[in-house]
Amino acid sequence: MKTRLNRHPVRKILAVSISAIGLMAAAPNLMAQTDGPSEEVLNLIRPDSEISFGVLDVSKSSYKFGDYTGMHKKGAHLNGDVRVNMRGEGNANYLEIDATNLGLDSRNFKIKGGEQGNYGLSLEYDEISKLWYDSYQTPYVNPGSTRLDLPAGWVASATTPGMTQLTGNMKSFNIETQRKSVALGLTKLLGGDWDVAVDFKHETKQGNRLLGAVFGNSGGNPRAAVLPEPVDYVTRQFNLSARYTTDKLQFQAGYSASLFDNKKPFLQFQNAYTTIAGWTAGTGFPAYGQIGLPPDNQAHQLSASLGYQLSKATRLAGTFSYSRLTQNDSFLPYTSNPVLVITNPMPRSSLEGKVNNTHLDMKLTSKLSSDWNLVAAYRYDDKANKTPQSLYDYIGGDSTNQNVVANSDRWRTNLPGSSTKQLIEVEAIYRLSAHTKLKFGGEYEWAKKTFEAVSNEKEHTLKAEVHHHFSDTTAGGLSYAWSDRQTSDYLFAAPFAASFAPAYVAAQSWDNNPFQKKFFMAPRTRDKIHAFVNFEPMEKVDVHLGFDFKDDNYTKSYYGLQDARGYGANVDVNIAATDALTAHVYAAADRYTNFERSNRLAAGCGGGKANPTAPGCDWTANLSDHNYLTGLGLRYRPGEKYEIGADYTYSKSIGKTDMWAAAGTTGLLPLPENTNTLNRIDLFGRYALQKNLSLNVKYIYERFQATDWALEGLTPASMANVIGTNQVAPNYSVHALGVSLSYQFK
Amino acid sequence: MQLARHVLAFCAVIGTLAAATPLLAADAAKPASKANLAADPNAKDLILKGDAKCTGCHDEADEPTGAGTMLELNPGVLAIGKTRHGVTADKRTPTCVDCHGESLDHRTHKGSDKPPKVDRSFRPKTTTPADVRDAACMSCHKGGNRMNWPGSQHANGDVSCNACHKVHSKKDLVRDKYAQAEVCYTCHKDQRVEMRKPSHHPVNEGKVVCSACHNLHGSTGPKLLIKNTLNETCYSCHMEKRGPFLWEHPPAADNCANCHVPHGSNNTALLKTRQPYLCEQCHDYTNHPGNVYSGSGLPPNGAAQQMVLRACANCHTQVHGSNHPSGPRFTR
Repeated sequence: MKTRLNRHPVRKILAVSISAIGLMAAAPNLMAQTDGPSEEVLNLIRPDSEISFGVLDVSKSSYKFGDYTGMHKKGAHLNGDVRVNMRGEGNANYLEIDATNLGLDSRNFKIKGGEQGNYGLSLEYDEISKLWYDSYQTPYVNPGSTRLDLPAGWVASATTPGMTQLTGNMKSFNIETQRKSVALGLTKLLGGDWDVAVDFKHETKQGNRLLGAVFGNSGGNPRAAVLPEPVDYVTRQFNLSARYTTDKLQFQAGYSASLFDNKKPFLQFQNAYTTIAGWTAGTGFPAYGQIGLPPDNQAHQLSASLGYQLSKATRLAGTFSYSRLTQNDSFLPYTSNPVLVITNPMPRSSLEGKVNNTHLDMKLTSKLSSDWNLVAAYRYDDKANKTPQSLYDYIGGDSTNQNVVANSDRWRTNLPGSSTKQLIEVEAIYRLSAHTKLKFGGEYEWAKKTFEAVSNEKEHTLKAEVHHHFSDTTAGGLSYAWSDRQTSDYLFAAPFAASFAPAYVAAQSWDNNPFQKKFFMAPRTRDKIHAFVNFEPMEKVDVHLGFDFKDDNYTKSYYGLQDARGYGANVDVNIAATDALTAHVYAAADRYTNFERSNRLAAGCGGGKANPTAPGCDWTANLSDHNYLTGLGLRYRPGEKYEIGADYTYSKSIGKTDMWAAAGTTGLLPLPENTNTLNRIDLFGRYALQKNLSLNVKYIYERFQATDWALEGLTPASMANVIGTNQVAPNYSVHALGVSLSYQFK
Repeated sequence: MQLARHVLAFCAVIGTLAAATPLLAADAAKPASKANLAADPNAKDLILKGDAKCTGCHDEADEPTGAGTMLELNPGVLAIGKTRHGVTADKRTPTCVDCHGESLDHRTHKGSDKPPKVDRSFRPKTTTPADVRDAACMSCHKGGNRMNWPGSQHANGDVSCNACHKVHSKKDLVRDKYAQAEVCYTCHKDQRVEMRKPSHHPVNEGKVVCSACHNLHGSTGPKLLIKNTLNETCYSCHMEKRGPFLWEHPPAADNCANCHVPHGSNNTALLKTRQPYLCEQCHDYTNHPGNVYSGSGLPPNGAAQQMVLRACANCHTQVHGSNHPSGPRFTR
């Protein structure tokens, strides 16, 4: 992948900042010597620094193994880490440098300096590589560009099996993005209990990710290809805060800005399909379609926080903030295809999107007595979406002329939703005895929303918790929380009626099953249990046992998500056999299940819009994820001469999909399991060659095996209406061996 | 120097060996009537102002024996000199007794048996109450991001500052990008499992830390998030999904967690459930949104375009919102 980051400004920023911090922090008196403790004591109290450089060899290229770590390329890589921690003698000047993985795409470099108790400067450079897929393939000849072309001699067809040039033209293209950021920070104590902090971060994100690029009308005759979406983002964040801190009063006021700039606002792609029934002539190959990519946007926020000690036992804290989000990118046209007829122009050239967020929270904490603590809190979050509404006569997938009839489903009004959410929370903590503590609490949360099926929600939560020390070596706890969310009447067609043309609404009545409730605003009860025990079966052995349970029950949803349930259990054992030898073992398992019910709304099973609950059309899906994790670690450090360690990690996940459908449903077949299995061994050692020189060795073996029914067995032409990608689930075994030398100094 | 060591040999063990009762914490404010009982009045401070009364015992000459006697003097406390809390030129830097209390009984103990505990102990099994320990830290660190510490989940759960921070260590693991998560996993075992799932934020890889999203010292938002809301927190790194868009997808604008889990998932892009079933939890209509998708849609039986590869997102790709005038169905 080509990186398009303009390197020169980054280099200048780095150079200038490092120089500035170095000059200011490593001021002439940084290392000024004064009479003081002996060398022996100085070794114990003076900060350590270390520089390490070496080689890391990776046995095999793998995106999954190198995801985020930068170890995805086969071969030897020079690598290094730097940790410098210098403090002035007799003064408060300091200089800290922390650099890791300097030879890899996951490198990080941070330098801080200043005078403690006066000012501080910092600079950080960071890279994060997200490696999505190294098995993706596409027939388009210029992946990564903003106008994707098909190869010369392309044979278009109404469906993929007829594209005779498809399979032979599939070429690999790695899908990855890389973030590179530079952050600057300044803190300054002003005196009089005031201090200020300023920071700025500039980040680029470049590369590609996948999107579905479609021609045709959703719900009727779409044709698609999965294509690389070019990513070329610049984000800038700025924060300024002034703080006043005394024993009794703490105050903070701040301003924050975050600016998002997408340098590639659209993707054009050639249509691989011939014009099919329902499309306007001339929209098939070699025409181009155009999809919009994320628009530029901004957010600015003013905030003020206050903490005040009302009395020795009672404190009040609160925050108020007001932020404005804006988005006003120029609209792309309804279609980029010049053969299509536009009768009704767009109502506006840009959105003029504006959202005002207001936040207020207050918290009162009081130690009522030596046994009782009380916390009461209130939170208010208002999202006022001021984006104007307009009526758009859209074109489906660059494939048809504009439909101007009154009852067309193409007339749509945007729905800028607003919401107000409030929460009151009370928690009482009672120390029943020196060994037992009880907690009781309750929450009441209510919300108002616009352009949704429900306009009001309210949720009550009750909580109870007990912690008890059974003995000097055994303690445990148990907590339970129950919640009940109720809503106003579920007006299933409200958003539909608000967005579509009246004539179309009158003819259709609704566009989603009236008996289905969308889970994020459906009535729900929730139960949560957490239990744990810590004990020491023998000296130098700690054991932790934990259990969690969570159940979301959507009791009033006839269709939709019915139940979401999770269990988790874990055990940890830590052993300190001797001062030199320690070990830890852990094992955990969890299981999450989603159960949903739906209806096919098909005439063949006796259903449809006239009978949306026809039993013959019912089906259910029970989706469960089972996860198992085991780890074992050993550390042996008999003295300063050497230390060694080892870790083993085993992780397995199994995704099951169990389907059921009413009798008479044809073609219902079971689905295979999706699995991910990880085995990883980490070995590491450090040997002191000399007083200040160490040899470090690390070894990693990782084996990962995955199965994914969404990818297996697919060819580029398996789906008649979507061009495939030849992707496969990751399977690899990788060895990585690193050898480095470390030099320690003070 | 030898003389100094003998002098320092008396004060001992502050900050490390033992625990104290909450009432003793209050004793820290008492006049130091016996404070002049250090063995050698000529003792010199090693690091902090007035630390001679402590480092006389807790010096480099003695290694811990594990016997719990006067000989277990734990010179590791000197490592505070390597930290910001050891910079005496900063007038804000505390002394030993600022954090541990005057601990007169501890300092004046005579004999070879285990001395009484210090007033305010931070050892792992201390009996000093969490709020008493926290008070030592909050006496300086009370503003800024810690303004919401009192009454926060950690404070109410008796997770004191020293449960996560190691003040006497040259390297405070919870402030290290590569080590912070392991500190958090000490209690948050579920998150350890989730971070090992195939789709996860790069926490174990050291590129994102827990504290990038959570303010462990108390926050104004839910789940100790650094921002007022979950979405505002997510937008810190994912601004392209912030909008506002012409065509909003309500669950995305409402709460990212409607579809995603933050710590780890078996499904790509941290989705709670695999597509198309996740989408079908809300969408049921004629044509494909209400169809039953089973093994008959997989090779070699078939290849349902709403089920394989990116499933629904093969066409409806802009699920976070679209700003294209022809994008109300999130295909543009």
